[in-house]
Amino acid sequence: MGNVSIHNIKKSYGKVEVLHGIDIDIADGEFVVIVGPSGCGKSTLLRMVAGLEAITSGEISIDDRIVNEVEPKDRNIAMVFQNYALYPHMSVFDNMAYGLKLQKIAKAEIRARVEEVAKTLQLGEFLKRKPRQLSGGQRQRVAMGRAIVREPSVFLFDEPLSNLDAKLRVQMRLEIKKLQRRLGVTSLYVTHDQIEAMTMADRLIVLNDGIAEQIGTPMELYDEPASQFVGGFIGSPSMNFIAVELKNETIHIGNTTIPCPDHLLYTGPAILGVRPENFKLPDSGFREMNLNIDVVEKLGADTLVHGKISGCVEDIVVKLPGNVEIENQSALRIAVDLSKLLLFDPGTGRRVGRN
Amino acid sequence: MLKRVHFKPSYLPYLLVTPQIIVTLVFFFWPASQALYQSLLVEDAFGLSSKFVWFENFEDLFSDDLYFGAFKRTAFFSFMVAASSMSIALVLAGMADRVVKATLAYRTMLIWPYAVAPVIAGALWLFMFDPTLGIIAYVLDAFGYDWNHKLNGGEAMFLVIVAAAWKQVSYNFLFFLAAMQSIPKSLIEAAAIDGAGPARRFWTIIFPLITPTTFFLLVVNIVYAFFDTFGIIHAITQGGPAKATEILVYKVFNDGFIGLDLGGSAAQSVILMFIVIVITVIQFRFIEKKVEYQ
Repeated sequence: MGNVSIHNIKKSYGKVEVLHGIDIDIADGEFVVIVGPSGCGKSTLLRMVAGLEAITSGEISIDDRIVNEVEPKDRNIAMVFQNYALYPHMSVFDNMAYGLKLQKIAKAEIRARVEEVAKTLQLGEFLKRKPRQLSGGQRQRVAMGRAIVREPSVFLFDEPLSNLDAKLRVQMRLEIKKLQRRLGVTSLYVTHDQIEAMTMADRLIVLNDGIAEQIGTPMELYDEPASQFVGGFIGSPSMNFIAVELKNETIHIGNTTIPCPDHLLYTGPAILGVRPENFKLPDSGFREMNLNIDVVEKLGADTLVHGKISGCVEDIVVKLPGNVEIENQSALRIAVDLSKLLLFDPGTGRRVGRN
Repeated sequence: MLKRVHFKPSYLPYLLVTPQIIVTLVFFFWPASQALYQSLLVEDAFGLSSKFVWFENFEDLFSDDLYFGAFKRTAFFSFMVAASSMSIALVLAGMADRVVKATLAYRTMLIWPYAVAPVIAGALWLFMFDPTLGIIAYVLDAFGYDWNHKLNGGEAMFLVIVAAAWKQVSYNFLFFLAAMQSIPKSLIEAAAIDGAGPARRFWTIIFPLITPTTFFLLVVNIVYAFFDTFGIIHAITQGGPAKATEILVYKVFNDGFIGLDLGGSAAQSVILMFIVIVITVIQFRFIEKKVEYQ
């Protein structure tokens, strides 16, 4: 059993409130990623679940037991830190066995458990080494191993991959995900990297300024962002935002007018959200507009065109197939998929006009 | 080929290091050489003439039971000073490391004793423990203990150890605290999650990680107890009663300037000089290299 329930959690440092009431129920075995820009309070939330930060108000329960006043060691959790937090004076074996020794488990069993975990993480040959004799990726694995060997009901990850180079990060991301699937242990994972978040999560919490902007599966957040922030944060290249005016069932974008699709019900000024891949070269069923090109980036599989829609001030990105031919053009006719348009309130940034 | 950087020969660099060299020569090398020379002489009883006797002073010292007594006393004294001041500092630093509020005030106050001159520190403790005036002696008397360090050698030794250790606690505290604060917080948190309570965390994580500092302080404290405690002893006991607190450095003074055995005193200071050299070599050669740290 490893369900975690976070109920109306608030955190203040002195008079400054950094978390303004977070609610989420995490089912047993679920992989939940907390994602947000730095300073949004995501690590604080994780550390409150771990018991490393006091809870200002609200309730956290693990295994159906309220743990607000429970010491970290009695919460049945394991945590992987950003800097791995390996004990530098102990061998890899001792690092992994430390928690088990404190639980007064028999020596033979400790040995068996550590060796088994080391084997699955391909650390078998490093057990006698000190952390400083390992590479970044190996240290990361030891930190994982130390968490796994204790067989906790919840794993907590605090940006565990941010100290690795890009290639290793992609590889470890996959390994962690596979491992979590196999062990079926509830996991709470903090990251600022939206790709990490999208690829690993069963569900995502997007945190911004201490508020959970949206909680949902990666695809829910991608297709139906609840706010401009979520729309802009999830997806790469990020969503384009263009100030528009809606009246008489039409949308005025700069000096172009396109008909308002059926799923949008709104009048007045709004922010239009369009993902770069929802632009196409003109074709039937799409509405065209003029794009003044600034820069063209050829990525091989895709072509990213940076520019402005005529009559608009916002820089936008359009993602076209890799084989399009754009030669020294200063402008391009592009079309937009009307069914994928989103509207946001210019003041609050919340989603509006949903039919 | 790259041209070598070349400066015109100039006297300026020599001029700039001259003051330092003069200070070193006048205040270190010259006295040291004088001590070496003196240690080979014997003065007559009136100090009017001296005779070159080779190593006779050293031979006398090594066959002198009083000198060996002072040696053993010094070993005991410095061990007790180092052990007590370091362990008290360790406990204080361990607690200060966990203090959240008013950290700065707490630390500043703990550092004060270090600023007190040795003689003043000695006088301070002397007043508190004075058999007739002292407040602690008075309290002890109320408990039925008759404190008199002027008569009881053990009590006198205890008193100088307390005064010497008290003064050194601040210094050790600063180093221990700095060492503890350089340990990443996440290590302590990881240990807390792994199930270690504060005491367990201290002994299995913090203490092993501050070993380099502990060794460094051990050497510094031994040197301190050997040499810098003269003022404290001079103020409290003058080496008495009956030489009960006469450590090596005090014996140098006592034999040389009170007993006027200049040659013997110089020989003792040469031996002390040798001890310092050995300790320093140990410090540089072994400890700084061998201590394991990340």
